[in-house]
Amino acid sequence: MNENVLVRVKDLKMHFPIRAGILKRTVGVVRAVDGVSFDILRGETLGLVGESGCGKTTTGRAILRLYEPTSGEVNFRGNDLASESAEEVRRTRRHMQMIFQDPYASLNPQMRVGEIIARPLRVHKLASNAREEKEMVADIMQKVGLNVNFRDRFPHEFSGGQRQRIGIARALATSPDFIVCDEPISALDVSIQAQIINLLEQLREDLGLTYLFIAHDLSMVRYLSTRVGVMYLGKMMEMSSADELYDSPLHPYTKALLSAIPIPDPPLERRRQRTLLAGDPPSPANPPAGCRFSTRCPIAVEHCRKVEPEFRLATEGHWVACHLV
Amino acid sequence: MAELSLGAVSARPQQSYARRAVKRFFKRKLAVTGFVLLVAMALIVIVGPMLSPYAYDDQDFNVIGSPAPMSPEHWLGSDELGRDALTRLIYGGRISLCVGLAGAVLATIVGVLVGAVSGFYRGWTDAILMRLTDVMMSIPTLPMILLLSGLFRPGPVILVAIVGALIWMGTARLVRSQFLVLREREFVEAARALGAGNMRLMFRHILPNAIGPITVAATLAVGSAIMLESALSFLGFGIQPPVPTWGNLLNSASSWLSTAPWLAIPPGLCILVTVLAVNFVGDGLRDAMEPKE
Repeated sequence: MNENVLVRVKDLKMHFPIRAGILKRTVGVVRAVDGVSFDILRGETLGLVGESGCGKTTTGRAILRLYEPTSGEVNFRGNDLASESAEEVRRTRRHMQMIFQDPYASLNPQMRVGEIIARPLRVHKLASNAREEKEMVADIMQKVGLNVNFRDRFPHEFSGGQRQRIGIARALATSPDFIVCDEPISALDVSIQAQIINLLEQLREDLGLTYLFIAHDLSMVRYLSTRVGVMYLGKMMEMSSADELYDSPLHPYTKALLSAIPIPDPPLERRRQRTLLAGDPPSPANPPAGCRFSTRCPIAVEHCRKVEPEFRLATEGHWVACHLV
Repeated sequence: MAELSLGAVSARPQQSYARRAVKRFFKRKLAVTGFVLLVAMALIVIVGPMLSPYAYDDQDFNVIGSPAPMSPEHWLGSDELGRDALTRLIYGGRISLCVGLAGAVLATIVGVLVGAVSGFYRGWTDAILMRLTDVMMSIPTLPMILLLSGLFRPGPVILVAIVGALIWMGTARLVRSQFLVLREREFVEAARALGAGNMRLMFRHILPNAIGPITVAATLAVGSAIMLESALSFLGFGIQPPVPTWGNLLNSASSWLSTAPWLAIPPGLCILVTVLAVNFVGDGLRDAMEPKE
C-alpha cells in the first residue's frame, strides 16, 4: 500500500436489516452504504458531501467501526480494521477519533469539562499520574481556545461554539492521526461556524491531522477540503480534488448540487442557472436498478436504467460513476 | 487563538447538579416534613432502646395476665405477658426499618443490574431477563410467601432476601427503559469512539445519568419493603416472637383489639406514618431531580 494512504476503504457496505413481526424476521435491508471505495491520504482533508440520508455519516461511523460493516475492508495504517477483534479496535481508537454533529448531545451532562477531556486519557492510560493528567488536559484546552479555568464547569454552562470546542478537545486528547468530523458545524451559528472551521484548519496544520469532513454545506467543504467525494443513495458518485470538482464537475448530480449554492452577489445570483432535481431521493431500502441517480437525472438514457455505471477514473485524479461522461 | 470564550460564560457561582437538587428538595413542604419524620424515627429507634428502663422481653409481674392500660410505669401500656409496649414498639421499629432499608437496597442493586444489562445489551439478553421479570411480577405475593416460609425458617437475612426478591422488578424495568434511551445518546457513542469498554459505558457514562429516577425508585422501594415486612410478620412468617417488629406486634395485638386497642394502634400508626413519609420524600426527590436543561 502506498505510504501516503492513511485510510483505505474498499467496497464498504453497511446494510441495516428491517425487522418485522414478533419473530423479528428480516423483511428487507436498508442499503445505507452500498459499496464505496476510496483512499484518504495522510495530511489531507477529504470532504464528503451529499443529501440527508445518502450514507455519508454511516460511512464515517463504519470507518471507525462504531457500526459493524456488513462487508468490505477498512484499512487503517496498514491494518484491516474490519477483521480486528473488539479489543484491538478499542485500542486502535486512540489513533482515530470523531467530532460529533450536535455539541449538545455529545457531551455527558453529568461530567465536568476537565473530566470529559481526561476520560480518553484514562481509557487509554496515557497519563501516569493525576498531575500529569491535569497538565495534559490544560494543554489540550489551551490548544482549542478554551479557558483552562473552566475545567470544573458542566457542559450546560457553555455556548454551542464552546461546547464544540470541548468536543474537539476530547477528540484531540489521545493525539490521534485521523479524525472523522461528522457535520461539526451544522448545529452552530454562522458566525461561530467560521471560528470552528478555522480552529480545525489550524489544528490540522499544527498537529498534522488527517480529516474526513462530512458536511452538506458545499462552500465550507470547498474551503476546507483537499479532495471532495459526492455520495448519493449509498454510492460514491464523483470524487476529485476540491478545485476541480467545483470548477469542472462531471457527474450530473454534482452539477445539480453545485448549481444550488447561492452566490453572495445579487446581480450574479439573478443570472445563476439552476438545475432543479425533481422529487425526493428513492428509498435506500429499495434502490432503483441501473444507475442510482437515473430516476432524477436530467440526462439519463435507457442504458442508465439498466446497467449500473462503474466508479472509474475519468481524468487524472478525477473519479466518476456515470455512463455519459 | 484568542480566549473568545471568556465573556460568554456567566460569572454566577457554579453549582453542581446535586447541590441544586438538594436546594429544590428543601423547598417542598411535604417532602421536608417526610424527611424530618424519617430522621426523627431513625433517631428514636437508634437511641430509644438505650434510654428505656426495660429490655424488649422484660416482664413486669405486677401487670402480667392480660394487657394493662397506659400508666406512668408503662407509657403505652403492657401486653398480656407484662412486657412494656413502648419499648417493644421502639425496638420493633429498629427491626422493621432495618429490614425495610436492607430489602430496598438489595432490590435496588438487583433491579439496577438486571435493568442495566437488559437495556444495554438488548436482543436475547433483554428478552430473557425481561420475561424473568414478568414471571416474577405475576407470581402472587402471598402464596409465594406461604411457600417460602414453609421451606425456610425466616431469620433476618432470609427475610431481607425475600423482601428484596419480591420488589426488585419495578426498578429493573425503570432502569432498563432509562438505559434504552440513554444508550442511543450521542455522548455514549462519543465515549465508545474514545475506546471505552462496555462496563465503563454502562456504569461510568450511562448510570450516572439515570441516578435521579433510580434514587426515587429506591426511596419508594423502602416504603414497599417496610409494608411487605409488616405483612409478612403480621402473617407470622417474618421475624419470630419474642423479637418484636411492627408487623408481629400488630399480629399479637389483634386478638386483644376490642379490650386493649392501645396495643394495636401505635404499631399501625408507625407503619402508616413511616410509609407515608417515605413516599413524600420519594415524590419530593422526583421533582427535585427532574433532568436539567
